[in-house]
Amino acid sequence: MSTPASTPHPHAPLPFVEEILLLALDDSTGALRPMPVMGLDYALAGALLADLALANRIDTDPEKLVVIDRAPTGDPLLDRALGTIASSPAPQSVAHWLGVFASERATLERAALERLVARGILAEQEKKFLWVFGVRRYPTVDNQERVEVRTRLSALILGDDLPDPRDAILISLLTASHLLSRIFDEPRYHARGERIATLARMDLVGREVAAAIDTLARVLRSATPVMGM
Amino acid sequence: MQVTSSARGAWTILSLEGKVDTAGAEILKAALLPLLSAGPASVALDFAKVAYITSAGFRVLLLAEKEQRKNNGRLLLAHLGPDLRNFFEIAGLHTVLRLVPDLDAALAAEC
Repeated sequence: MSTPASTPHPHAPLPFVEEILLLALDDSTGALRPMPVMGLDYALAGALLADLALANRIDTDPEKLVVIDRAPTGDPLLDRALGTIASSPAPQSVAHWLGVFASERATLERAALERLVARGILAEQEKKFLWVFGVRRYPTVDNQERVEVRTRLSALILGDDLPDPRDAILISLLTASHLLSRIFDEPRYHARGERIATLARMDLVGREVAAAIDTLARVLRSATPVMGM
Repeated sequence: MQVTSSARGAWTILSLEGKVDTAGAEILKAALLPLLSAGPASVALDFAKVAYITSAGFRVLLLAEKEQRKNNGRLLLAHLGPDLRNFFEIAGLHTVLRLVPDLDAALAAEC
């Protein structure tokens, strides 16, 4: 198979929290793409931890997440999360912190949307539904970021190059939240399932996000009465 | 973590001792990446005295493997203990990195 040349990051990448939310929004409607129950909650929580990890503030192993540097990053969202983790009397697992920050989805989502609007990537639009209810949508103003990240990830999925650590994290989070299969919904990507699974395993936080979402889906399935019995 | 460098034929052997955590990963990165990015290099990492690695360590190894592939080099990881190897396998990195049980045998086969 030919190997597409990997495309470098052309400029400073977006923080993962913003990147994940941007990719979770449908380009044309500005609405969230369908995701599993709590898929976005855990994906944003994982993105927050990944941002802290790449800022060299936390590190992880299969048992625990540890704070390695309490110095503020200058990003209020990250610094609040760092303060929460640092105030824990004992190190906790990645799964524990995913649960904590998944419960803050509304805050993370709101902050990420505001930042994407401030960057000129999205616009905020209020629409009336049934003439009464307000529905907020975020249509795309500047699609360059989405196009660049998709081009890069597409080359990675279809080729044989190794990802850089940042793209490994991104693919892992997108796969865990079932967004990757919606973004790359063509037969040539379906045929690369094994490759995607290999790439998605490379990041520990992403693996834990996948485990949390899958566990929740199993619990919900087992709690749903079977119709027609 | 400490890194001791030695040479065997065309190979540079970096013997690691301690934890490849955030601090250790930075030390490893400083020792390893200049070797791999200078051109086609042959580097073996001896993990015999490493019992612990974190995500930060994996990120450096992923970067190093990417760099050596770009420059047509060679990178071997030798003497990983069972716990460490298990962690590599969970992350699927045993499929992208060359893990060898015996460094001497691997180098003899490469020469």
